[in-house]
Amino acid sequence: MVMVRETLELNKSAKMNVRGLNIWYGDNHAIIDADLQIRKNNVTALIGPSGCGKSTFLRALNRMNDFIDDCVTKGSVDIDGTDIYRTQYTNVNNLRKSVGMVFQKPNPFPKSIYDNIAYGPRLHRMFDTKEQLDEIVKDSLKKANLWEEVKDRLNDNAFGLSGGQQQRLCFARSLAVDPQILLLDEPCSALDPISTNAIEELILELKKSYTIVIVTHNMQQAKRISDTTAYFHLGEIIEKGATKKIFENPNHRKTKAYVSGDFG
Amino acid sequence: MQSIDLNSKLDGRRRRLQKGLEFACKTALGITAVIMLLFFTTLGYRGIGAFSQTKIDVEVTDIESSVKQTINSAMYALVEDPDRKTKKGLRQLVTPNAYSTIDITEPGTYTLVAHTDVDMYVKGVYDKLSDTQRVVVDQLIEQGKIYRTWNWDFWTNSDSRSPEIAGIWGAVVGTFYTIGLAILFAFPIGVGCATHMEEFPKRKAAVFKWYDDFMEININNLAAVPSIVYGLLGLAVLINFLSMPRSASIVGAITLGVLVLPVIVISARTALRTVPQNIRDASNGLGASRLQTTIYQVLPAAMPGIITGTIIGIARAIGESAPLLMIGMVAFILVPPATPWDSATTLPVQIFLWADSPERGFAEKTSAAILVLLLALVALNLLAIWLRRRFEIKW
Repeated sequence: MVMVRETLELNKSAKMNVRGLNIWYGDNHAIIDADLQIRKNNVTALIGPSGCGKSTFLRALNRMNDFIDDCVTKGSVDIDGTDIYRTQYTNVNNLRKSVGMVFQKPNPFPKSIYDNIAYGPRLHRMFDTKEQLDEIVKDSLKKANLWEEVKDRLNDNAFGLSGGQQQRLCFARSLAVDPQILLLDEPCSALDPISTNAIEELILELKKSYTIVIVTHNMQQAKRISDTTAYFHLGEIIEKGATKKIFENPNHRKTKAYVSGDFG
Repeated sequence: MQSIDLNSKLDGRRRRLQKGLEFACKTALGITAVIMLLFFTTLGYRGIGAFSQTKIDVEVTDIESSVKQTINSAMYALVEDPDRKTKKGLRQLVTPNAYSTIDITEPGTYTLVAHTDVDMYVKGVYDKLSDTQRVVVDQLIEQGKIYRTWNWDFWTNSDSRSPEIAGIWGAVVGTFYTIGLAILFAFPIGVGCATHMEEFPKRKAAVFKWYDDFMEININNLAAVPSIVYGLLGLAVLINFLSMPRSASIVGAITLGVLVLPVIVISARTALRTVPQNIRDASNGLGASRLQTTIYQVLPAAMPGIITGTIIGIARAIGESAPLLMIGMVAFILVPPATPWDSATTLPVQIFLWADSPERGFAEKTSAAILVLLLALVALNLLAIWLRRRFEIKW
């Protein structure tokens, strides 16, 4: 009885609900029957060894896998009760606007810092006047803790920023289109510890207003910043639950071996 | 433990091989350099004369009924009591075109272009002057009335039967029309084609797969088709079937456009492939449609490469003459074409025409025109290099 009530509560506060997700790349069954609830204003960490399907799973959440030619997706991903895989006519552009993504390697556009941020709002016509756009750019950079560092050189090329700054620029760029959910695909793997620290602080701050899903190889990072953790193994979610529980008292043998550093 | 031998030299066989290879490479480079040097010196030596022109200052005292007679009587005055034969010789010191190109209404000193025989005599190429002519010409040279100046006519005139006043302007205008329109025709089609092949998902149905493969093979092979075949295509399709005007720049433009199309497609595809996938991911992740991503991010990022490739393709097209011969652009152009629908010729075809002319005066024009064409090509290639250096994005 207690179990049922917990599940219900979980359902209520779930921003995203993934049910029976199966993904194939050609003959390769990359994700097998994945179920996961992602709660609002939580950081959900996806951990697991390389090639276990974490990134595939993450990319399924805003249909980025559509761009891969032989990728087939079955199952449902609900956001606020609407299935994004319901039909092929889902407005994927609006979906990706609401479900932003930050990638492994900082990938700013080869343009000015300002234009990098303004690109999204321009795509979606989110402003009427130049002043409004300036405001969006400023807000986004502030949210990404980058404003103070770049406010005097908004027209400089973004490639001139350091790696950590570039990654925060990518955060700001995603935030500029006013998303609800942020998908982070190993956002710190290409960064040094200081930049990583800055990004982690940023994630904890953003958690207040956004729902965050992060793929990470760094277990300490998952431990530090996430509320919920899902452990992937060979395409299956083997264990999921509160981060503390996963790390301190995992149910599954494999999870325990992974989080304690026995392999991976 | 045995110590590592760092002091002994390479053994004989290895050293000889290494030296031999080094020598072979250096020789190859040297041969290329010598060939280039010979090529340019010959052209320069033979063509330099065309950049200067011989002129005659004549004193006009009597105005006759026509310009021709006025000039003739001014020429007769150079010798006392000339007989009929001498008169003919004197008349022929001035280019026959002078009668129609200069207007003489009152007495004074007029500067006329000398006949090609005088020009060649002054330049020391050959001497076909009669004895009387030679005496007069020598006299005038001494008096400073026959002299060489910078040959503006070479730049501002079009073709002519008389080598002394023939110029490249008509061919240059024709080249501009032809190449400009060829770019307008081939660039959008080539870039569109490359974008479709690189940026849009491969369709899965067997018939489309077959079609895509077919297009791919075709485009790769088209780049190697001999250029005269494109001329035949232009002749058969554009002139015979579509009844477009013969010799016109527009026909040449489409023919050359088709010729450079595969080059543009291939270079554009290469440029598109060098744009990293993560830029597409970033744009798509922000909710851009595939088309928006392509137009706003991928194409601008690939543009330096695309433009460089296009310039190199265009450089090839500028030097083409064979396909233009097929569509009748070997026209004798006295006035530069006003529109692309007028008869025109291009620089390489002009070179061909001059090289084919019996008058020896055209020999130096030919070399000079080749020099101009080569300089234009060098300039284009430098532009391509500069563009690449300036706008290339280092990912």
